[in-house]
Amino acid sequence: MSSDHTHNPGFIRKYVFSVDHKVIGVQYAVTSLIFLFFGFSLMMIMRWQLAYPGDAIPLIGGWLGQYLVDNNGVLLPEGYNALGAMHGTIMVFLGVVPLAVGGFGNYVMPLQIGAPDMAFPRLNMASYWVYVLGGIAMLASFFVPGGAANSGWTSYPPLSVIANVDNAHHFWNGQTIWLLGMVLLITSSLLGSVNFIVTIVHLRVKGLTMFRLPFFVWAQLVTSFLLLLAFPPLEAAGVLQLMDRAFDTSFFMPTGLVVSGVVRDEYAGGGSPLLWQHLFWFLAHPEVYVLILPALGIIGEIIANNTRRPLWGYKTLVYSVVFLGFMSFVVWAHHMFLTGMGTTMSNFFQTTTMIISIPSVVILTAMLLSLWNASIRFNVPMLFALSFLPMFAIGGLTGLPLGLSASDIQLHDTYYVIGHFHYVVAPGTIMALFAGIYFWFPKVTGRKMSTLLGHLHFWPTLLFMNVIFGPMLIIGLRGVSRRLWDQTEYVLGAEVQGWTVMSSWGAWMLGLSQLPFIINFFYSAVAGKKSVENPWKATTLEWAAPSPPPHGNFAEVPVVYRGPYEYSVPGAKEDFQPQHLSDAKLS
Amino acid sequence: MSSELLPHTLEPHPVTGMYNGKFGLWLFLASEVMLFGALFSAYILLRTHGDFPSHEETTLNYKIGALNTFLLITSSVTMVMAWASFKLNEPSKGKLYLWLTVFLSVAFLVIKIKFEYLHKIHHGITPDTSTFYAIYYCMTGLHGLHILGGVIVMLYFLLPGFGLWRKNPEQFTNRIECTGLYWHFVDLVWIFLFPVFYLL
Amino acid sequence: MIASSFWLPPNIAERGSEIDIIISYLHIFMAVLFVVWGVYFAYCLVRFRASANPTATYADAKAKTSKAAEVIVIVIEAILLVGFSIPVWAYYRSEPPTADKNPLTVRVVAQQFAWNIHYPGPDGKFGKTRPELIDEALNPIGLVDASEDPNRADDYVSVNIFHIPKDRDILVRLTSKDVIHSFAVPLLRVKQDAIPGMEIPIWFKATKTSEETQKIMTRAYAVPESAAGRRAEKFINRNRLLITMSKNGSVPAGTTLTAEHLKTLIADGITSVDLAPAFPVNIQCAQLCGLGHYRMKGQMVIHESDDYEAWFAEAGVEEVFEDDEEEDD
Repeated sequence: MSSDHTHNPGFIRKYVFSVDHKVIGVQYAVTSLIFLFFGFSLMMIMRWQLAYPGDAIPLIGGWLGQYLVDNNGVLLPEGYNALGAMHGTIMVFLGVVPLAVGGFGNYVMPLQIGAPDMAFPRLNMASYWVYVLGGIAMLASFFVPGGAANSGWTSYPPLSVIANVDNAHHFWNGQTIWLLGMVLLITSSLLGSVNFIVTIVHLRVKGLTMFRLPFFVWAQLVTSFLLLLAFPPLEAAGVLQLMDRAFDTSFFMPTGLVVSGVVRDEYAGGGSPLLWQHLFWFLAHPEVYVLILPALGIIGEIIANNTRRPLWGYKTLVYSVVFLGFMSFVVWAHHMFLTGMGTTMSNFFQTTTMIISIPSVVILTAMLLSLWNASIRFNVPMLFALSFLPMFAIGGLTGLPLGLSASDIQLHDTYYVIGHFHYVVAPGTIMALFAGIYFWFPKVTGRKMSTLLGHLHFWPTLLFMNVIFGPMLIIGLRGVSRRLWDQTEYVLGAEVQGWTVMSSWGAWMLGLSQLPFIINFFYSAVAGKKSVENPWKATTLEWAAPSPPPHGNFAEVPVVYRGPYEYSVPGAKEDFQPQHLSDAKLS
Repeated sequence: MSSELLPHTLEPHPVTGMYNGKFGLWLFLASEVMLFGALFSAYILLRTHGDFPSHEETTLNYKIGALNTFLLITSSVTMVMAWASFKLNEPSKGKLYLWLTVFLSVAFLVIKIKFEYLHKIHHGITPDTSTFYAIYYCMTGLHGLHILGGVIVMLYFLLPGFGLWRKNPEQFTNRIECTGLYWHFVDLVWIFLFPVFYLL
Repeated sequence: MIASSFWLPPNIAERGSEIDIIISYLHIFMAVLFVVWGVYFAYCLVRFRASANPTATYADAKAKTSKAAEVIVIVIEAILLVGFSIPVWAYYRSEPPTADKNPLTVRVVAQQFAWNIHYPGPDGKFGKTRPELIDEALNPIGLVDASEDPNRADDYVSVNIFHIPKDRDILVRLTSKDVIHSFAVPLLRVKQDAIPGMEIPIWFKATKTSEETQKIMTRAYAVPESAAGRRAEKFINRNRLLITMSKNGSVPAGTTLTAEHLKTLIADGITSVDLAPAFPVNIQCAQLCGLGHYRMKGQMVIHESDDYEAWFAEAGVEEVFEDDEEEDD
C-alpha cells in the first residue's frame, strides 16, 4: 500500500497484531485453512490402517514417532485413537468454525453492514490470538509424553479422566492439554461472539434495517448467539474434567471403579459419567448449527448473485434460521438415546429432533425455489454453491434414521453416523466455504482466481467427497462400529472391507484434488488477473468498497436504500440494483 | 482504527438504548449466566443422583459465609456510589468509593482463603473428599477468580487507567458503569452460592 | 426381504424386523424425496441456465407444490415418529419380559476389553460382588465367597462367550467396571451403552440358533486358480473368520481355510467353496473404550433350548472361570 498514509502503524502492528477486521479475517482464514489441511492429513494416515490393517504406513511411517506407530511403522491402536480424537477436534474447533466465523464473518460481515470495523477492534485481535494459542496447545500435545488426547473428540469420561496419566505429570499430558486448549478456544469464540452481536446490532449504516440485512449477516448473528450461549456449559464441563484429572475429584467418576483389576479408590465416587455427556452435547449440538449456518449464509449470497433474482422467501429464510438456532438448544440428548434413557425423555428428544428437521427442509426448499425462473451463471463459486444443495440434503436426510430413537438402536455409533455428519460438514459446509473463498477472493486481494484451476478443483473434489462418505453409510447399515482400529476382526466388518478400501482411496484422491486449489490460491493472490470493484455485479455493500478495501473500508459512509437482493427488478436499466445507490442514481 | 471513529462508542444506540461497551457487557453476562447455570445444574444432578453427603455431614461455617455475603453486598453499594460520583463529576469521591470496593472485595477473598479454604485443607478436607466439596471448591473458586478479576480491573482504573478520566471523563464513567454491572453480577452469583452450599 | 436390500445384516431377533422396517421405510422415503428434489434441481439447472433464460424473473415463484411437499414431509415424519419409532422404542425400553415368560436373566459386566457374562445358575439369584475382590484372571467380577453368600454357589461366569437358548426371552442387566462401553449385537438388533455405576436392563429373543444363522450367512467363494500370489493371499486373509460348510474334496466341513488347505482345494479341482462365519453372532463394543476397543469382541452362542440346558449343566458343574485365551487375540 502507499506510504503516504497519515498514520503508519508499522509492519508488526499492521499485519501481525493488527486491529483491522480485514487483516484479522485473513489471518483467521489462512490459519484455519492450514489447520483444515493438517486435520485432513491426520485422517489420511488413519485411512491407511483402515484399508490395510496392520500394514506399515508407506513413506511417512518411520517418521511418526513412538506414540503413533510401532518400530515397523504400523499405526498403533492408541495412535489411531489419538489421530481420531485430534482429527475431530482440529477440523471442528480449529478449522471449520474459525474459517466460517472468524474468517468470513470477520472479513465480510462489517463490510456488508457498512461498518468501518468491528465494534471492539482490540477484542477482535485478542480473539484471534487466543485462538492461535489454543491451536498451539493442541499441536503441542502430540509431543508430550504419552502423545495427544486419545479419548475421542467427545472425551467421554471415565475413559478421558483416566487417559494419558501413566506418566507422573498431572498437567503435561495429552488429555489435559486438550482440555486447556479447549478452554482457550471457547474463550476465543466467546469474545468473538460478543463482538459480532454488538457489531451487527449497533454498527449497521443508515437505512440498513434488520430485514434488509444480507442473509449471510443473519446467519452470523444467529451463529454468534449459539456460540455465546452454548459454549459456556462446555467450558464448565472442561473445568470439571480438569479437576477430575488434576485433583482426583469425582464429578464424572461413579463409586467403585475397577480399571485393569485395580480399585481406583483415589476417586471418592458419587459422580456421574452422564453429566459430562449432557454438558458436552448441550454445546455440541448447537455447535453443529455453528458449522452449518454460516455455510447456509454463504450459499444464500452466491445463489442470489448467480441466479440474478432475489432469494426465494427471504423472510421465511430468516425466520427458519432463527428457529433453527432456538431449537438447537433442545435436541442435545438425541446423541444419548442409548445411555439408558427412558421413554418420556426419548420421546421428547426425538420429537424435537423431527421438529428441527422442518426449518432445514424449508431452507433447502427455499434455496431450490430460488432457481425457478432464474438466469443461472455457472461460475466457480456457483458450482460449489450448487453442489452444496444435494450434499447437504443427503446429510440432512441421513439424520432422520439417527434422530428416531428406534432406528438409532441399530445405527448409533456405527459408520452411518460418521457418514451422516460428514455429509453435513464436509461435502456440505466445506464446499460452501470453498464457494465463499472463490466468491470473495477478488474483494480481499483485488485479483480473480483462475477459472480453469477452479474447475480442476471442483469436479474431483465433489466426486471424491462422495467416494469417501457414501461407502460409510453402507458400512454403517451393515452394523460396523465406528472408531475400530481394524474392522476385519468382525464378520460383518470383513464383509464390507472392500467399501472401506474404496473410501480410503477416495480420501487420498481428495487430498490430491486440493493441489489445484492451493496453487490457485497463492498464485492468484500474487499474479491473478486484476479485478474490478464489483466483479460479480452484486448488490450487497461489500461490493461498494474498493478491492481490496482500505483501512476504514468506505471512502464515505454508505446509505442503504433497499433490500439485499434486488436483482432483475422489472423496468430497471441493469439487472442488479446495489443497496447503496439511490433510485435517482440508478435511473 | 482508533475506536473514537466507531459509531456508538459513547452515545447509546436507538434500538438497544446502550452504548457498544454496555451492550457487549450484557452479552458477556448472558454467557456467564450459562456458565454458572451449567455448574448449578451439575450441582443439582450430583445432589439428586449420586452419593452426595447430606447437609449435616458437611462442615461449612454459615457465619463466615454470612459475613462474606454482607461484605459483598456492601461492596455493591459502594460500587454504585463510585459510579454515581463520577457521573456527578466528583472524581475524588468516586475514587474513594472505588478504593472502598477494592478493600471490601480483598477482605472477602482473604476471609474466603484463610478461614475457609486453608482451614479446610488443614483438616484434610480437599476437593477429592466428596462430590459436595468438589463442586463447592469448584464453584466458589471460580467465583473467587471472578472477584479477583474485578479487583484487578478496579485497580487498573484507579492507578494506570485513571488518565482516561482527564482525557475523556464520559468514557471513563462508562467503563466504571460496566465494571459495576459485572460486579453486581458477581455478587448475585454469590447470593445463590451462599444458601446452596451453606444453608441447604 | 426389503431389509436385505439396504445392506442390513441378517436379523435373528424376534422383534428385530420392526427396526428393519423403520430403517427401510425411512430410506425409501429419503430416496424418493432426494430423487424428486434432484429431478427438479437438474431441470432448473438446464432450463434456467443463463444462455437459455437470459432474463430472470423478479417475482417469487408460487410455491403451492413445494408447500404441499413440505406438508407431506412433515406428515410422513410424524407417522414414522408416532406410528413406528415411539412404539418400537417402548418395546425396547419399557416392556421387559414378564415373569410368566420365564426370561433368562444374565448380568453382563463390561471391562477393558472383555465381556463378563454372569449367570445366576438354577436358583436364579446372583451372588454378591465387591470391587475389591476383583482379580482379572480368577474372579473378573469380584464375586464373594460362597460362605458369605449362598446364592453365589451355583453362579457361573463366562468371559467373552455368551451362551443363550433360542426362543426364550433373555433379560440382560448391563453394567461396566471401568469406562463406558456399548453392548452391540447387530444381528439381534440390540445396542446399549454399558455405564459404570449404572445397571441398565435390555432384552431380546433370538429366533435362530448359531448353526441356523451360519446357514443364512453361507456364501459361495470362488477358489483362486493358483495357491501362490496376491489373490491367494487375499483369499486366505479375507476368509480367516470363516469355515467350510460342507466337505470339499479332502477338506472336511468346519475347517478354517489356510494356505495348505487352499493347495489341497486346488489339487482336488474345487472351484467354489461354501463358507460361513465360524462364530456368526459377534458382540461388538460400540463406544470408544481405549486402545483395545477394536478387539473387544464377544461371541453369542445360540443353542436349541435342550442343548443350552445341557451346556449349562456341564459348565456349571465344572465351576471354573473360562479363560478364553484364543478369543483374546
